Amino acid sequence: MNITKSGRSLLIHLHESERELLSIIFCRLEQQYKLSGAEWEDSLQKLWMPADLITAGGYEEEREYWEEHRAELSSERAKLSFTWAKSLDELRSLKNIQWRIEPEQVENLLKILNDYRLWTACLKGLTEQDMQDFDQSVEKSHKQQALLEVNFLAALIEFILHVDG
Amino acid sequence: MTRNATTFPDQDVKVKQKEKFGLDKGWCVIVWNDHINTMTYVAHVFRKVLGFNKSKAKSHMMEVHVQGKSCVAKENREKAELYWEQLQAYGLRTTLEKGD
Repeated sequence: MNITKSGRSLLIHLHESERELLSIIFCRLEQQYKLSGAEWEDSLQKLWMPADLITAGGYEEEREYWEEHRAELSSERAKLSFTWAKSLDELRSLKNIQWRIEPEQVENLLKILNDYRLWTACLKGLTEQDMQDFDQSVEKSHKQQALLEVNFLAALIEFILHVDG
Repeated sequence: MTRNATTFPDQDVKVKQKEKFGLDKGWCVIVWNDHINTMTYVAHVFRKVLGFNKSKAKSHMMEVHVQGKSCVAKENREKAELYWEQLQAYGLRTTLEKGD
């Protein structure tokens, strides 16, 4: 993976395996974003919604506000995830894979990639220790795929910030 | 609308008026540490959302990392809530607290 700039746009150069993984990730993201709040796993709802609203004392008015806010963001991010999964599919098996991101979409890309990191870590129960032991962890093999994805996206985010910053 | 905020029901009239007219900059926007968001990403978000320069963004990011949290802005309630919403949209764990 490498990233260069073409004018103000980003050109993300990917190997086929990286393209495929990113495409799968955007498909998963689209599916998650499309779910209604009630369909989200409890742990993910807790990530999204302020702590005092998920306890018994949460105010109904605020809960409604948060549900609307979540739905609004999810809808926008579902569309972008779909678009990016499709654009990556169109690059399938090309010898030289260059995925273009327009400048006005860079921040949204960062937010969405980070959502996937947060959600995966939450659903798979990745601890701080897991994150540090990525290379050595043999016993935690059930977490290896999640760790691979979370670290791959961290590297992509870092590359983007380095090139775009 | 109050989110994750500690409120004091017996505030005097002056404080209420200040709040009403957006003059009460006593709302603290607090960002909490977590083990998933990277340090570079957090500093980037501070620059984008709060308009910090590189140095200030790094300083607050380090405070989050080392101390576990940082008050990144003290604003009136409306502005604090706006920051809160924008920081949450980037996936940072953020709360609002009413200060003195």
